[in-house]
Amino acid sequence: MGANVSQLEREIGSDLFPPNEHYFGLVNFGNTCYSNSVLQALYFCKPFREKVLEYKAKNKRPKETLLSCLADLFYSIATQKKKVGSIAPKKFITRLRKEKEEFDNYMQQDAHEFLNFLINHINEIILAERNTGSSTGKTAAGGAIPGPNGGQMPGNSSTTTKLSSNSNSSNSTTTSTSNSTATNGNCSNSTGSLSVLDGNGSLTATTTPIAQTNGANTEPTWVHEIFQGILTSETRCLNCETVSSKDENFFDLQVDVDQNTSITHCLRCFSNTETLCSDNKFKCDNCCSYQEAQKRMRVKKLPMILALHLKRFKYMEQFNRHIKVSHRVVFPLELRLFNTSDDAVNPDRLYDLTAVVIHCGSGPNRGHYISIVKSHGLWLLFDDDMVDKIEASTIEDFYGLTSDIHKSSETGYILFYQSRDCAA
Amino acid sequence: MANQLDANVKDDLKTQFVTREGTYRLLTLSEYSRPNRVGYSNNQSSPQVRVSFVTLPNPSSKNNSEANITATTASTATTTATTTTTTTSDKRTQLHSNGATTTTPATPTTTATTSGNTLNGSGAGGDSNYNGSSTVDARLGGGISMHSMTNGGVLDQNGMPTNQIYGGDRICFNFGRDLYVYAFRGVKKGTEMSKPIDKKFYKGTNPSCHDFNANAATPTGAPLLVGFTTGQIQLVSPQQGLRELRKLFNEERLIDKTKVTCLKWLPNSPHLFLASHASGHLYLYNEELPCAATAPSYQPFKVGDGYTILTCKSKSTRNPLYKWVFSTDNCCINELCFSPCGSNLALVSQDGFLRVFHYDTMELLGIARSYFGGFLCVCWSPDGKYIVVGGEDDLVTVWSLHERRVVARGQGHRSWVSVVAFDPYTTSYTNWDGGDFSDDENQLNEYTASREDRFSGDSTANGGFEGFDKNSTPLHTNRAHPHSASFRSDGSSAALTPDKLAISYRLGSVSQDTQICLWDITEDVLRHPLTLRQRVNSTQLNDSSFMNGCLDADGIKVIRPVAMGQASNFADSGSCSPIRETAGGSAAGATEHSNSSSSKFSTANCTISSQSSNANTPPDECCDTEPAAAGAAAAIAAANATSTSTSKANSRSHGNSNSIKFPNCISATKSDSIDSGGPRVSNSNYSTSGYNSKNSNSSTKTNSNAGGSSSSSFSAFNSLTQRLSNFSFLSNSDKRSATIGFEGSGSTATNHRQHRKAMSMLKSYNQHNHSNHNNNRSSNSSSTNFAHSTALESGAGTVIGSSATAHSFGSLKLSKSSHNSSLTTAGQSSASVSSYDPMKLIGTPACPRFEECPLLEPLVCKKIAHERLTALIFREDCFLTACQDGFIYTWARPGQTTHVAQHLSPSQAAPPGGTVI
Repeated sequence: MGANVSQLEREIGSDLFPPNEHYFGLVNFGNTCYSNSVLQALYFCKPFREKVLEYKAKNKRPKETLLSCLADLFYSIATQKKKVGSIAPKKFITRLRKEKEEFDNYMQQDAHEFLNFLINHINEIILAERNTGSSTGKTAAGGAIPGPNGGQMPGNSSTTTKLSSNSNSSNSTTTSTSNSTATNGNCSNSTGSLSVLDGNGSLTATTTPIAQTNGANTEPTWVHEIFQGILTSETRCLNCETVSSKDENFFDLQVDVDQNTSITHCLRCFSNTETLCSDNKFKCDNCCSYQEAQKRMRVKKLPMILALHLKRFKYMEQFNRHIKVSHRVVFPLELRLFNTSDDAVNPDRLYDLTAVVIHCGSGPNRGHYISIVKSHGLWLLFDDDMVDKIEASTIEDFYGLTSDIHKSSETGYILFYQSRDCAA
Repeated sequence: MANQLDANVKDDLKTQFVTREGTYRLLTLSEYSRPNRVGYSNNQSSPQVRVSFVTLPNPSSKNNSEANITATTASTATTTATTTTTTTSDKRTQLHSNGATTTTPATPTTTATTSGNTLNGSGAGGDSNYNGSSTVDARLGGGISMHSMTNGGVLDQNGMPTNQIYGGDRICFNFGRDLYVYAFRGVKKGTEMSKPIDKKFYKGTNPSCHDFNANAATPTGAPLLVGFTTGQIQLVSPQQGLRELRKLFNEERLIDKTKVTCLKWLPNSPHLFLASHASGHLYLYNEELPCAATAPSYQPFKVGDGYTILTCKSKSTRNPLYKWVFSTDNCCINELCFSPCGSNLALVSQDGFLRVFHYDTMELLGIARSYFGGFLCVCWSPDGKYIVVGGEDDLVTVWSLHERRVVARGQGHRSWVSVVAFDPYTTSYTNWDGGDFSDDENQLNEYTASREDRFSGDSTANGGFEGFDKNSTPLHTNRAHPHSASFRSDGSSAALTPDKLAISYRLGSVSQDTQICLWDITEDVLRHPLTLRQRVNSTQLNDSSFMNGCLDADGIKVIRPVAMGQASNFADSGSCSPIRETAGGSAAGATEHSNSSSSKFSTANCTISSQSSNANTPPDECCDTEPAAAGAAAAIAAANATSTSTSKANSRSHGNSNSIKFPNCISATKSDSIDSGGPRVSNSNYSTSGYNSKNSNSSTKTNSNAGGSSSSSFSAFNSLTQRLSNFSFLSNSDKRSATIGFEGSGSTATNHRQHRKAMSMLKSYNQHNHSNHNNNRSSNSSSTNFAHSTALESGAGTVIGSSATAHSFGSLKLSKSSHNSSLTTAGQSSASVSSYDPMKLIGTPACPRFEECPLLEPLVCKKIAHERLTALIFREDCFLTACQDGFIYTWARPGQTTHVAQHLSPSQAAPPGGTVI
């Protein structure tokens, strides 16, 4: 390991090594690569890192939460004397296993599920602390629910999910799992390793109905500011032609993958008009009945960091299990969204790819997660405790395969695009 | 999706598709791949499979002497475009026309004896080569080596291989570490897969790109440049017999260590080529010069907006001659392409930019930005008016050279667009007079001259003018279908019906989504106006010079951008055909309108006031383009009139001569088109041009006798332009190029050539001798390109309101005195492409917002492979596609399917590697 890291330093060159930057691998505690890969990706999402370090600076003696553990970890990396090396995120993993029983084992976990959990959970912690800590009298109604939620952090891991769902219903800003738990019902309960994503919808987003955000506690957290975007779903009743639209928050977009396509295409597909019919009719308020309708979802507010989850684990009925879809899906280093709504706030946002969580292996239940990140113009590959500099041209190795003759593949799984106008 | 998981399912692949011109069919027997077909092999991370194509001159007979063969060089070669711009040729007819006319001395490459060749693979012995192949192993240095197998045949007494294939078409493609050259046998014959002409296997590196030198092609082959992933460049020149001469550039990687991304021979030169590397640098090499054993040290040669051109700091000329460096990050050049006339160079790069340069002057003509992501491919329209690019935004983007803006985008691919290509054989047109070939006015007369030369049988007079192949002329004369007639069919197209059909370009694109898309780009799309939103934005950014082409000062007349484009065409091409294009596309009354406008034209030559009053009327017409053109013409005429009338004493000035070139150009070309039998030009147009040409020619003569240079109407033009619309590119380029001209008077032969073009354009050959003056003039002439369109645009602008017109012409006079100051300020303001920041470019003509730009839908969009497609080449009777799995498919055009395809049966379709039909 030591030889490896010093080699990295040599490869980059001491004069070119970015000042105040540290490239530290994370030690694997037994199948914790799902966490390591996501943490590295998040660490190199600059706005997120800064906020976490800011949190660390503000809260000198916090109650131990997942966020405080994360802040300690980030702080520890950022204040290392050495420029490269590895670090053991022991406290964080321990805390994580306490927080959520699904992660309290040594099995493979789904990196996206972890990301989803982590972002939501951090958001809850912030809201909880804001409510308990604030003297602004914002304690009633909406604020009350996240409060206990945050307060119960230690130990009550089994109820956390439920509580967050509850808080969803009353105050959507607190969490975001409502839709994902609805569409991917077994996501939070599954003891299996990977979240189950239905292959029917072209896109499922981890969304919350925005209509409920008018509660008392609407002040967005920095998690919202970084990750939250708004989807607007427009539904046109085919009977009365009334168009109704509904906004939903999202923290990430989950896209179906097709063979030999681009992420751009996958995102465009999500905005394709879908007809709601037969079992899936739309309850039209105007007609006061279930009617056939056309629906499309478009992005109304583009988040600062756009997290795209490629739904590569697909349930195949004939096999009665999930299989990995290794389709080749290219993702550019730069992205704009085609599927913005007409009233979008910032449709011109230009995104740069900053990190990719990569799944290596043949199927959902085995394999490995690594991540590649862009830092100061360099591309780095983090494989648990190992860090390597890679050429940008290597990224094409992670697009996927055009045939399934090869059983194993290394494929982009979660893409982090950062808006250029917010580049810190 | 399920069947995509199963690579054996083939039924979703198309083997034929229908367009309005008929059915295209895959010819399974005309398929090219590695000789030994193997099962699926993963070539995904290997370099893109690219295809180079060349048409060789045919020996006049089997007993052709060597001298005769080698003499068949430049002129024939110029008829064959390299790689994607393929030319068609009926081999036999071509043979006679070319063989007789060539007088160009053979190039050193082709005449060089192979005595210096260290490789003994030429196979002098007959018996040992009885099997028809020779094998060579060679170390190429830099850790790479090559194993080459040439399929030659038995040698006869003269040392000529009897089985060697002479002439015809050659196709070259790379796959992994391999490189193959086959004789392309067209749609009539199946391939002989077991007999590649040449196959090379490299160790330690992979070939990444290649290009045949059509300018130096002989019946036995053409010099082939091969670039490698490790940065080296190899030149393989076939010799008589089985020998080949090999040279290596950047052997020790001292010049550039990164992958060679694109190689292109210069269209007009048999020895110069450009090589782009993944580092983002572009190098010009002369294959006759060695690479020194030391790393080059550079000194700046020219600094432009966002780019710097360096040259080697050394006593003797060495490679690379020039190094182009661009300012943006990650600007790995993915492809470069010369315009059909050979004077402009388009580059697309990973930073998402299209950059268009006037190659000889190294002036940046314009840029475009992808919606997002890198641009991967580029192609010029056959007439050089438009550039199409494809990239990582999954879009096909059409950019107008004259308007300097993105005019349309095509959405249809599901992944990155890897190759775009115009189909010159399915580009339809109407009422074509053959006068509008060049994309650059400087080229025009040279081209016209070359055409005349061709008609007179002397094809060598003008040194190598790639792209306008005379071969297409007889072919298209035979092809009476309007839709299949090519842009390149010059005078012969006069035989076609003069129906006023809209111009339509046919475009093909292939993508990583394994689909091919065909697009029709029609005139009505190309003249689609800018939207309001864009105009709002552009007023904020109107200091950026590259947007000149599309900025409207007032932006009210929606159709005016087209008018401007047309107007600039009008002047640039110097022909009246664009007018009639417009007329054909817009309204039947347009022709009559053009008559009236031309009469105004002539009026305008006399007085300014009448001109402006005339200009007021046209906007009332339903067709705006005509008035705009008329206005532009009027503006020219006015300028002309001004220069002649108000500044008689100064009219011999240098600048003045430039301004006079506008009308002169027009008139010259018009008379040319008459000479070449151009069809149907309205009489009044003729008379106008006649009048004009007299006027301008006379003044040009005056100029030619005068050596002095002072302020003039040219500067007046500048300030007029600026005053009208804040366009400043013109005078800036004027200034800069003038500077260059002076600086580089000794150093650049290119300037000189440029100058000659300018001279020929003016048809004032007697001016040729004032070298200093000429240099200056030449640079100015290049700038008149800008002056041209800009001034015309402003002229178009004047049509709108009489007050504006009056004002502008007032300023025209005023500006004469303030020549220098206006030039200076212009130089300042337009010195930069305001920004290469894509955040600032969004909403500008370089990168309009998605909803601001006309969106094309593909004519057809068919999935034809299981692996990503990597090449697309249009030929007269077929087109070729290549796939990353190493297969090159031939698709017969409608009516071109032969017996090969007819007796095609599923059993005969070779099962290649589980990926193709």
